[in-house]
Amino acid sequence: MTPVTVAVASGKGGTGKTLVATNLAAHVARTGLRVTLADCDVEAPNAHLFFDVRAAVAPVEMPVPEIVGACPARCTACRDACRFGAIRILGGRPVVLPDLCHGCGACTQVCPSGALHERQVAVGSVGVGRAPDGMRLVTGQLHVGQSKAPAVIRATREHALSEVSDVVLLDAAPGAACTAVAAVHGTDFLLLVTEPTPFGLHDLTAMVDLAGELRLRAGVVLNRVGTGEVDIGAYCRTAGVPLLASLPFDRDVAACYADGRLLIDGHPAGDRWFADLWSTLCDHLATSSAGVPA
Amino acid sequence: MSGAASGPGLPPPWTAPALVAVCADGRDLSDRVHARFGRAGFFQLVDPETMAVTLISNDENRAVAQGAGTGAVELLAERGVTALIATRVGPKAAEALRYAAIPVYAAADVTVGEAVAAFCRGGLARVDEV
Repeated sequence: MTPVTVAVASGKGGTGKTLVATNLAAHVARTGLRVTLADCDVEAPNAHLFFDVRAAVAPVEMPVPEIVGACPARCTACRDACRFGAIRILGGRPVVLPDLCHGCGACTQVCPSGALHERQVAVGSVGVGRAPDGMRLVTGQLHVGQSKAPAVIRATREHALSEVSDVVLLDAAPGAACTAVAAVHGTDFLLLVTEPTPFGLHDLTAMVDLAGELRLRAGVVLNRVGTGEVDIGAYCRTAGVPLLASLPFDRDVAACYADGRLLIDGHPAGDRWFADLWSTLCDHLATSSAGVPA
Repeated sequence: MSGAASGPGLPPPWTAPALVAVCADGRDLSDRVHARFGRAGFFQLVDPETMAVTLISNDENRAVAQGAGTGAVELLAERGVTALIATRVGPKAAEALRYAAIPVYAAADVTVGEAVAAFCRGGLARVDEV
């Protein structure tokens, strides 16, 4: 059976994606469901800081072409096939510029002479482990200096789905660019975390537009209520996006988070907040094709 | 032009037949050197012997999401360019220019004509990455 997939994303950084993703995942795991939390913020994964997990780490590799044989005179087939400008004819022969390569393999497909060979290059890693409460944690990590975050995010999602779960929660990178798209596309529901500031509203608007582009159902979690005056609720009503939960601007929340502890363990109201959020989320999932995890 | 005064330690500015490409804001020698390489509107290909200009449009590369610089290098390599005058080139374009064996000379805030004249005097510094 395919799991229900819920992505946690936010246009603005630092609004509380990881706070929501980690606490919700742990809460749902404690209700007895099989939960996988996939940290898809591969440039700065940090969900693992909240869990006692020993992960088995596998490399993520991407094929990059290299020219190992003799090219026919004036052949430009590989250059013509590359949509990313990663092969150029320079000094009269094709030259591979690996930084621009997306590993699609089109060049080796069209090469008429077998002069191109694909070499596997490590671009990141995926760690898989299990927390004491049974929650499975999958962590994608892009290697320093690499730029192909989407390849690592894809691998992270594949690992997340490689074992049976009832619920898969995906913690996305901030922003509305390709890293966020790679993490959220095709999920059953998009949880958008924001804060009541002009920046929070502006970037939420971008994410609601993105959800529309990707045809994803979305709902908002308003975090740090009290830190700003912007009426996110009014925006949600206008945009037709449900406001699922509000979390207060609370020193004890910050202290608990800074300690690397889950709110559901370290804050008196934490368990109730995330039980309520899960219950509300299930109501919304019940009206979608995904259904309620059971 | 044969007595061009290369600065100490600098390689000769070109080997004949020379064709110098300049990133340009416009079509004439009186137009400014463009501040960027891959997304410049035009390249003026200047024969330093005659100062004759051949204009090539960079429209094909300047609009792409990525690879504008390396595309521009390929364009210049196809046209037999032997030196490039630019304000700056990015690291990927610089790598492609090395493969194409096109040296880069730096010029900023001058016209194309002034830049080529300075190049001919050996007055432009050679740079891999500005």
